[in-house]
Amino acid sequence: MSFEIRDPIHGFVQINEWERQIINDPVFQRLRRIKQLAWTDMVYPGAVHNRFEHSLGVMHVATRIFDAIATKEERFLKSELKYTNSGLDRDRVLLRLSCLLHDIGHSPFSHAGEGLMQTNPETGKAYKHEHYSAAVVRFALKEAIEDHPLNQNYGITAEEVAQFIEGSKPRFGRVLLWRDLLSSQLDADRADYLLRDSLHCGVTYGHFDLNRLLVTMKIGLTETGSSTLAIEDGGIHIAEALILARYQMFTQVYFQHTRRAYDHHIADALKTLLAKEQASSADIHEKEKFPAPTSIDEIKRYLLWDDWKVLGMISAGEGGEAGAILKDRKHFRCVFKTRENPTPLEIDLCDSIGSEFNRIGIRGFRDNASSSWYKVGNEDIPICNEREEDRRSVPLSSLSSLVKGLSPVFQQRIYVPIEERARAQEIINRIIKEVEA
Amino acid sequence: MFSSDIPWEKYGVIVEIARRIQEVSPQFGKTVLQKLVYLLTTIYVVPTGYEHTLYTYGPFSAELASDVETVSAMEGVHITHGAKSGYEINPGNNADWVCSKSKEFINVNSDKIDCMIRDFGFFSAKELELRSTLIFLTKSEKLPREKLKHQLTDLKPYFTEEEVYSAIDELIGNGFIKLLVV
Repeated sequence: MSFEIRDPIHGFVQINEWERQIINDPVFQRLRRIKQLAWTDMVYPGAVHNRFEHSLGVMHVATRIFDAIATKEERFLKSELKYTNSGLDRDRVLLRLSCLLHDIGHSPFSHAGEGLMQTNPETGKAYKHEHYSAAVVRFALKEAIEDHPLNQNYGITAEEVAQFIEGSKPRFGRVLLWRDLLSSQLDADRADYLLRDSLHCGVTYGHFDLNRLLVTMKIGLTETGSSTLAIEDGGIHIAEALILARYQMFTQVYFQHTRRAYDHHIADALKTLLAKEQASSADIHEKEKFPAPTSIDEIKRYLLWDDWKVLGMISAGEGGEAGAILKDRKHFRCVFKTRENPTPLEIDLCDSIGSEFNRIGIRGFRDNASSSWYKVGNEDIPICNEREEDRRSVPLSSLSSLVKGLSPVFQQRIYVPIEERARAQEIINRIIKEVEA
Repeated sequence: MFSSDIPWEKYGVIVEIARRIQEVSPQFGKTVLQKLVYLLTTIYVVPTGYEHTLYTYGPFSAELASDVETVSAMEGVHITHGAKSGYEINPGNNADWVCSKSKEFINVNSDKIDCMIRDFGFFSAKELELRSTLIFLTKSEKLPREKLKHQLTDLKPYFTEEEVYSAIDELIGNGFIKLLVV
């Protein structure tokens, strides 16, 4: 039996009983209470959509791409990668579950809370939301995944789904080909969020022809001979459109100057709220950080955090200065910015301004485009010949002058409180004069 | 408060490898960079800050892929399309400036970067893909020789048995991996 969920981008998203049960789980329903773009609605009031609808969308898009490639590349998949119909069927189910659950570990306000995750002692690096997603799958959704009657056909484990999301362990073999659909330049995540964010923000950036993308995708080979998802050369322009869509969404929405100020303020407010909640706990490893994704108890505590909880605490006046800034809409203002691609001189100038502000005690912060989760680079989408026998791919940037000419954005900005704006501007003008002299 | 969060140490690693490998690598491109940074982090325990996950083409870090473009835009490195295939990365006009921002980190890890280039710098992209994948496969779990070979060829059927066993033996000989003895 299948069910349909209405979606503003894709029309209807089809799910089966198994997926429906997972979606009905309170752990998945929590995604309704995590906004996709944090406080972006302060700039684009329509941007109040959530991770719930995005997760359904990613599963839907990934399935469409999988089906298109499985049909088009049936001969290659069966003769070269030794797939059978049941092997393909199983990978399709694993991909759908992984896409459905890939964002289930997001913190409140999505990427705005990403800087508040604990350090993984094994790597010395901060955990990412993917690690939390994998932990939620392992600790909170094991039964929902493994014990459903439909799973008797596949024997898929929660651990497999978790590892597919993390890309952490080598259990898979050929199924890793499909991991490109979850995380790569051609992934379903990106394909969905560009279209969805664009629609909800009410902008006309971010559009590309998803149907055209589907018919031009194929399996290519990297320079070393590995299989990878690619676009055939007739689809160069849809590949360009995808990159331009991302570039424009980054510059106009994700890195919009006011939106970035709110990302900063919500992260500060979350720190204050975490500190308050942890004040009475003796066993906290890292203060002002979310519980680690390392045990069922920690994950249960982590999952209590969602936008509603945070908004309630801010509304009750517990968010400190940052909470008050959010409540009163008194965000810090940008007083200095470099070009999108600054020269060394501009970066050094930004350093000097920051040092001077620190020295004389002006409050504020510095923002860096390349530290944004949505940062854009000069992306390499593999392009292949349309002939079936020729699978060697070349990077899009070697074929497209448009993409070749697109530089990564690493703009720097400095923000101060509204009341400090005039004083800050005077100091900036003085420093610029000194540098010019 | 106004401190820069530009990851200069990461950018410095990219530029420093580009500088030191010029006379050694058959073609220093993006794939080679990915695998060398993975090895530098995993085998030589340099805290590069990059985390690689597994794809059909071996360990890969999307963050590193993005950073090399940023460093190129800063002219820390210069990226061109290679004579054979793929890319070629060379130090750029602002290589000194980028390195000056991460001088301390590079100095502390200088010997380790040299060792990594000595041990792995002369391999081609394909040879590095094989070796870095073998290391990734043994990182989380000690495997017997036969099983390791199977896991590798499941993922990369285009490597011959001889190539895989030879790489395994070489990595064991150099102390880079340990196998489960059955």
